[in-house]
Amino acid sequence: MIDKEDDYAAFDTFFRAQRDQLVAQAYFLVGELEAAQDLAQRTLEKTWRHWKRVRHYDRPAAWSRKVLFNMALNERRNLGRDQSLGEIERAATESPEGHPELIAALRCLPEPQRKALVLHDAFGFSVAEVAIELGAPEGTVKAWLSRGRSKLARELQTEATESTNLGR
Amino acid sequence: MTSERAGEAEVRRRIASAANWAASQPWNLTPAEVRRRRQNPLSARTAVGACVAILLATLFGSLAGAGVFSSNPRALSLFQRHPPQGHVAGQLVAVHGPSSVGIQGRVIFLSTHDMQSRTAQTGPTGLFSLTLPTGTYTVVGYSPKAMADGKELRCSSATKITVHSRIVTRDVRIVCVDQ
Repeated sequence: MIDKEDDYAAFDTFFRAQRDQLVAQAYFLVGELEAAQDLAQRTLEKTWRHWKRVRHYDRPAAWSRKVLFNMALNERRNLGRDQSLGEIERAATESPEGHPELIAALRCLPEPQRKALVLHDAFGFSVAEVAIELGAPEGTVKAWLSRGRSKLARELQTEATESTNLGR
Repeated sequence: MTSERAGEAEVRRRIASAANWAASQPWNLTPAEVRRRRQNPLSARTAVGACVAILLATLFGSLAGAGVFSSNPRALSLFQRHPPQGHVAGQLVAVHGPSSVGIQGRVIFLSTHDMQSRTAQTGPTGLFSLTLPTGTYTVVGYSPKAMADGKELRCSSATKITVHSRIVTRDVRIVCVDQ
C-alpha cells in the first residue's frame, strides 16, 4: 500500500515538473495548442501506465519526451505531411495569438535540427544534454543548431518580407 | 555576418517566446485525472464484474430465502445479514534497542482470504481496536514517527492474526524496528 502511495506521490511531482514542458514541446511538433495538450495528455497517460518501471530510470522525463516525439511522428505519418501543413496554415489564421509562422518554419527543418533547436533554445538544455537526449556527438548537435537557426532565420525573414509585400 | 547572428538571436528569442506561450496556456489536467483515465478500462471491467456479482448474490439470496438450498432458510438469511465477526485489540510500538514505546499511526489488516484491507488509526499511545470478519490477516503498520530515509517504515506483527467469531484477540503488537 505504501508503494502505491509512493508511486502516486512521485508521479504527482513528475507531472507538476513536466506537464507544461510537454505541452510546449508538443506544440512545436503538432503546431496547434489543443492538439498539443491532447498529445501531452496521452504522453502522461502512457507514462503513468509504465510508471512503476519508468520512475526508476535515470531520466524519466527523457523517456516521456521520446514517447511524445514518437506519437507526434506517427500521427504526422498517418495524417500526411501536406494535410499537417494545411492544419498549421488554418491555425495561423484562427489563432493569431500563437506562433504559427515560427511553427510552420520549424516544420520545414529536418527532424534532428528541429528537435535540437526545441530542446536547446526553448527549454534551455545544454549542448551536452541535447547530445545525450538525441544520441549524437556534441559537435553534431552544434552543427544542427547552427544550421537550423540559419535556415529558420532565412525562412522567417522571407515570410516577413512576403507578408509586408502582401500588406499583411 | 553580424546580421546573420542577429537573425539567429531573433530565432532563439522567438522559439523561447513560443515555448513560454504554449506552456502558460490554461490546461485543467491533473495527475488524478491522468490516473483515472488510465484506469478507466479496468474500472469498467471491474464495474461489470461487480454488477454481475451483485445480481448473482441477489439471486442466490432470494433462492436461499425461498428455502431452495437449505431446510433452514432462516439460518442462511441471518448469516448473510450478520457474517461472523471478531474483535482485535493491540498496540503499534516503536522499538529502540531494549525499550519500546507506543506511537500514533495506522494499522492495516489484509485478509489472506479475499485480500481486502481494513485500516484502523491508533491513538497517541499506539493503542487500537477494531472489529473484523473472521479469518486470517497479515498486519502491517505505518507511522510518521517511524521513518527511515524520508519514508515511513513498514512495521509488522510477528505472526499472522486469526480472528475468531465473537472472540476478542488481544495484545496484537505491530512493531516498528528503528534500524
